[in-house]
Amino acid sequence: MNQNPSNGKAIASLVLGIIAFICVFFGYGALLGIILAIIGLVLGISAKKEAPSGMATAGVVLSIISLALCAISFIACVACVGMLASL
Amino acid sequence: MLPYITFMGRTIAMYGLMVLIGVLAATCVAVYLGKGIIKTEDIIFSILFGTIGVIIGAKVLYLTIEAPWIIAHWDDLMNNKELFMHLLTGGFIFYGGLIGGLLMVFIYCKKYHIPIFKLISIITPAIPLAHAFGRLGCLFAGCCYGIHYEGFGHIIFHNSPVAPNNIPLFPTQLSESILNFIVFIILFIYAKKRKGSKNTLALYLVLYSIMRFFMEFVRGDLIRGIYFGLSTSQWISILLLGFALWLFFQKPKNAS
Repeated sequence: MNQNPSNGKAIASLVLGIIAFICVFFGYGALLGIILAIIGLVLGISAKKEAPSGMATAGVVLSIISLALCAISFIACVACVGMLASL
Repeated sequence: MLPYITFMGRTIAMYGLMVLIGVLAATCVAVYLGKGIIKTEDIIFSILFGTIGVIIGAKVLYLTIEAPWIIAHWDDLMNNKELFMHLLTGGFIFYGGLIGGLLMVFIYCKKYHIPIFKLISIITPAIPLAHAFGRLGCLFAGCCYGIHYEGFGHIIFHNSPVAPNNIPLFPTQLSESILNFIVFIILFIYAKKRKGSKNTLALYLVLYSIMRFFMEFVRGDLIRGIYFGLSTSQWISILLLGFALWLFFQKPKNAS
């Protein structure tokens, strides 16, 4: 019975990972990609712990890759407030 | 210095790239230290949870500290999409990330019944290693810069969007990176000798909070906030030092 919720989580993780990966190619869409990848990662890990499956693994892997790519294209650590204050 | 690079037509933020390299290196170290103690899968998943906590925690603390400025310039932010996105892309405070990361690791351990101090003792040496790479990212980005300083080792930025350009500054980013590498080596040796000890975390918090308290005196980007003569990070350092000392004197709940 517990397989169904885990399958749902695995599918959701994979779908979110795919969407997050696509977001990398859309400039500021990487921000949405980070959020979706984080949710996909949490769901994928939960699915793997409850009922390990190939789909859960794929969801986790894709979410990790998407999070990494979105992070390097988006997170700049530039203290923008200081920069904005000088404008 | 070099906030962005271009690779295959895409702009890559050096800070994000260095953080990614740091997390990868930290994961390798944690997996090595955890061999035979905790399942590799749990180490990797807990680090992923921790990384999520770091991103959220670091950002939340930054936005909290900058809240007065954000409120005062709310209209400008709402009318200018570029400014609003800059607010979201920039600004991450390490202590917020550390607290968020540890919290998420704690949640992971509770949810999946992992012995928390054993796991944290494995992950803790990896934290300063990842942080050291992050500080190199700060060097590239020009953020977290130092005070005006003309002595040995000073650094001069020429095209930084954040640090004052063409002015000799104290090399805070490089100094903290080197100090973090030293802390990593100390913790790595300690963790190898005292496997599963809660004191690994306490030792890290003592070393880092003292280091950070004094480094704050040479930080030039004090737009981050000063309260009763000390910066936000100095106050957090004092609190964490107290917590670390409390942790040292806690007796382990079970011998295993």
